[in-house]
Amino acid sequence: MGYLYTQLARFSEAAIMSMGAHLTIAVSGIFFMGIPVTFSLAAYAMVISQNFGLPLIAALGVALGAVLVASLIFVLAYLKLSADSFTVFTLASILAFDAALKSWDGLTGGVLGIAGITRPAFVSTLVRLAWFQFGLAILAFAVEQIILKTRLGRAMQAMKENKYLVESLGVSSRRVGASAIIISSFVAAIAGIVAIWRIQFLDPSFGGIMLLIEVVTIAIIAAKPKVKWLAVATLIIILLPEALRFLNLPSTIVGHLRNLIYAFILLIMIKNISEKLMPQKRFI
Amino acid sequence: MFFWQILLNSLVLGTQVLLLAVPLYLVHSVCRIYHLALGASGIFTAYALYFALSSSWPLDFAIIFAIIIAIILGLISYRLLDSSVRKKETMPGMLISLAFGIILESLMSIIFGTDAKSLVNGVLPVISWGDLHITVPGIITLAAGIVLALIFLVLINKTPWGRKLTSVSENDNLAASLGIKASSVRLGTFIIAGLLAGFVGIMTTLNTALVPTAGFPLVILAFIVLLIGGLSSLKGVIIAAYTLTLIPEFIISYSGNNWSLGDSWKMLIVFILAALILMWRPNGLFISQTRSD
Repeated sequence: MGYLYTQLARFSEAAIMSMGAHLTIAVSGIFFMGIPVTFSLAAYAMVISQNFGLPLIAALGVALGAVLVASLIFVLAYLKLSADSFTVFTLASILAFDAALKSWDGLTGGVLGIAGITRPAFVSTLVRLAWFQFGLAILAFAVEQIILKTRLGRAMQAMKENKYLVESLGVSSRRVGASAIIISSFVAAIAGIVAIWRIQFLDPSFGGIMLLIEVVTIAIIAAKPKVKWLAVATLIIILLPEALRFLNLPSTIVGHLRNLIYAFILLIMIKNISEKLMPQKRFI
Repeated sequence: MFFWQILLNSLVLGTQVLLLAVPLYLVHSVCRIYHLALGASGIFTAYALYFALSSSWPLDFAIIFAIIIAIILGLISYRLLDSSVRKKETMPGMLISLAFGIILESLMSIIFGTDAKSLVNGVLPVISWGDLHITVPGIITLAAGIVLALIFLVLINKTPWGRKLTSVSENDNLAASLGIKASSVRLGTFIIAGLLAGFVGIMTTLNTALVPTAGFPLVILAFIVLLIGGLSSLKGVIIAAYTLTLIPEFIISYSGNNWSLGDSWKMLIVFILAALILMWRPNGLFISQTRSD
């Protein structure tokens, strides 16, 4: 039973986090790769605040405040840089944040990380935590569904098609893009906080390139701006590598094999659906 | 003397970054794509050399084997990315390249393990002038980097081959109408990029250790150099490569006893520097005007 609840929790964490990637990459066409940074930053900020004696609510406030600052930096980069330079900048932010976590060991525990993280009383058991996370995932899907139906959501979808046309209709594409990045950063932060309650151990590998590959793969598979596609894509990506458990492979290669599978899926999907990621070409 | 030793070390590091920035620049100039897999491709070539040497192959065979692997990786990159290049889909192209890089990294981890390996057994040969010391691979890196950067600077700016590259990147249909086969130019570019990346991979791992994940930080650093130098200025890329490695190296080396910074801070310092520069000059330091699409 514990295994099933762990899978439910993993699905929920991936679903919450991927909602942000889906909103930026698949809906708005913004290739924002800084999701692992906000995912990990929120978890570190909350745990460190709690270690300094802050109560849970205040620690959550500190975590979300830190994520707000990080997301504003990403927004600034988005407004200043070209689309591809912005993507490289956000990719570099993952390495820079990893370097900061490893270097500032007095605060972050360095490469050894922080152990013994306690869960809040209301999610003290894995069962409670899994259902709580599942509830959050459903909430995230509902929020995305609502966003897609609003003026902002329609502007996001239109921006992917043609941002100059969006501008000509009086909608600020800069504001729409900034909103997508901020929403994406915050949902990744929430995913990071609930994920750390399950794992109860934090080290620099918590958010990294491999996490990015997982999230981007989900967003690419769910290429269409529809929530049900996102749910199905998350389920596929979470359950697919579970088959490796039954192959009796050495534990040292299972993680790499999982990354290999994700990267292959990503490669094949992009090769086959790249036209869905790019603005439609119309011939008159 | 401490100052000169730091300067020498920084020059070697800067040349390694420059050597990877040059193929990235080439691919971007011709295909308008950020080829993120080049770092992993270079490290894969270094692993090929390691495999050949540890299997007791003669050195010349081992080098030929590594060159063949680098060419094959260039060909695979071309096959994977050419359709994105032709459709001018730069973002999917970048993601394909990232996925290919992760595939290479995962394969290296599965086949060779994640523990650090060394291409050369024992201590690297060192050349000393007074209190200044440099390893032989360091000298080769420096010499090769300076020579290759100058060659490409002249080739791209002053020769018909460079004009072919530029014409293909601007408008491949127009280039085709002038008798230039765009696909052959792109194929050649990917193969040259693969060979250069392989050379960087081998030189970098000779100076440090061979680990499967070494390529990604290197390629990101090279990209930052490209962005700071300006995507259409090879001269700017050369200056940025040395500046961005010299500054963190000096900050770390001269940080005091109470505030001493380790090597792991380098990436953070580079990122902060890059962020500040890019906020000020989004198109890079050495680009005065750009033409938007």
